[in-house]
Amino acid sequence: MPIVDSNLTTILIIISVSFVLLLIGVVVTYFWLVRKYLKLQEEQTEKKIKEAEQASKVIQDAHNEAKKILAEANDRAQMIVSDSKAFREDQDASITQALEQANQLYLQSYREMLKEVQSQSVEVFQNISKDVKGEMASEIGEFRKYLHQELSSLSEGAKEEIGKIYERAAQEAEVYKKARLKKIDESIMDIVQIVSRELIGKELSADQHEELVIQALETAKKEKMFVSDSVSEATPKAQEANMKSQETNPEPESTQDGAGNSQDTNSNPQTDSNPEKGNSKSQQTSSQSLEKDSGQPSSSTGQQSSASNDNNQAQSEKSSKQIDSQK
Amino acid sequence: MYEEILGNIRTKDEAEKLLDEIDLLMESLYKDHEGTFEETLNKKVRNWVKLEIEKLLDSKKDKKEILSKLKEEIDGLNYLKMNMAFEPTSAGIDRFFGFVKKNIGPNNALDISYDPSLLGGVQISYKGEYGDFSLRKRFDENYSRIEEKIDEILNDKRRKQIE
Repeated sequence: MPIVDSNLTTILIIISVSFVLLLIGVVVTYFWLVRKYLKLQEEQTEKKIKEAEQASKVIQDAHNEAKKILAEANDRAQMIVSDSKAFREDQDASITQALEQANQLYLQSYREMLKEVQSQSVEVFQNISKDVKGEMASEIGEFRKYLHQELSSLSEGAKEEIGKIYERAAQEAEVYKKARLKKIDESIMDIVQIVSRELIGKELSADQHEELVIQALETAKKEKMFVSDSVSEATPKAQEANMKSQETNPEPESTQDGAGNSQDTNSNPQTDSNPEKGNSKSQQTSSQSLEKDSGQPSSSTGQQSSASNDNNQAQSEKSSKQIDSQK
Repeated sequence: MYEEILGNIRTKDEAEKLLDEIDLLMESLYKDHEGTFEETLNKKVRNWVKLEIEKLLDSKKDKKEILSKLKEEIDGLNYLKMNMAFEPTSAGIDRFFGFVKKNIGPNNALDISYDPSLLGGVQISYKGEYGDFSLRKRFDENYSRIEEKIDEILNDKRRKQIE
């Protein structure tokens, strides 16, 4: 075993020594190669610099050469241009001279022609103007006359038309004014009526109302409205119908037809059984119907006892005074 | 016999109320247990009606006959229809009724209705006769004169304005 170990160690040592040597060799070769590479690089750069210098020299030379060539070309071109200038100047001078000559010739011929045309046209125009003048003068005269007539007729027509319009407008205004005034009057009347009615209705106390009713009952009694116990015994239904008709149509004019045919609606046989009272009653009834027909108080209604009339008059006067004071 | 009870009826409404009460009494005549005649008379009828009916029944006649006759009498009442501009007080109704009793006679009552548009006064209807004693009528009759007066005033004013 120790022998193997010693061999192994020697082998290992040998191997390691050889490795070390190999490494050293490698390092050395590496450094040598690096040095060589750097050297080569330097040579390369130097070479490049030299080449660049040579190239710049060549370019400089070429540049100089080109400059020379350009200068020569320029000189030559200048010479050519100066030559052509001189030629052109000569040419220009000759051309302008020729042109001037031609111009003058043309001008002269034009002037002559113009003179001729002018003289001819003046003659023609003079002849034409004389004819036209005459014609125009007569036509203008006629036109003036026509215009004058038209204007005068137009002004007359316009005057008439304006007058008519004015009259119509005045009439319309008058009609409108009347209508408006009528409307205003009507509305004033309505207002007065409503206000008066309201005032009369409001201003009466309960006592005054009752007093008016008692006065009315007295009046009715004096008109013999209540004498009819033995006279026209109207049925309650007829009474009711009559009352309803009066209530629905309180205005006497509107309830009756022109012939006043309504007075017999409530008459009954008992009226005939008592001729005296029946007559008086029927008279009253018919007179009331007449009143209803005409809208005017009948003789019997007109004779509504003067006392009650006075009372009512006094009442209405009182009411009107109250209205006045309210106003 | 019936004058006293009829004399208490002032208006149609009162007459109708009384008729209702009589109907109640007449219905109670046919009932044995609930709501006998006496019970109805004591509990469902106004006191003065009760007293008046008791007076009538003193005559020992048939109850049904007396009540039927009373109904007939009430039905036979004449009504003075009065359409007024105001609703009268009870005292007012008394006044009107007093007038009717005094001037027209018994067996008459009032049938009152209310229409403020009359302004005042009354519209009367009695047995087919009609009389309009309202202020509205007087106002309408005289309104043409008022209108003329207003017209005059308006025309004067206009004339002055034009001048």
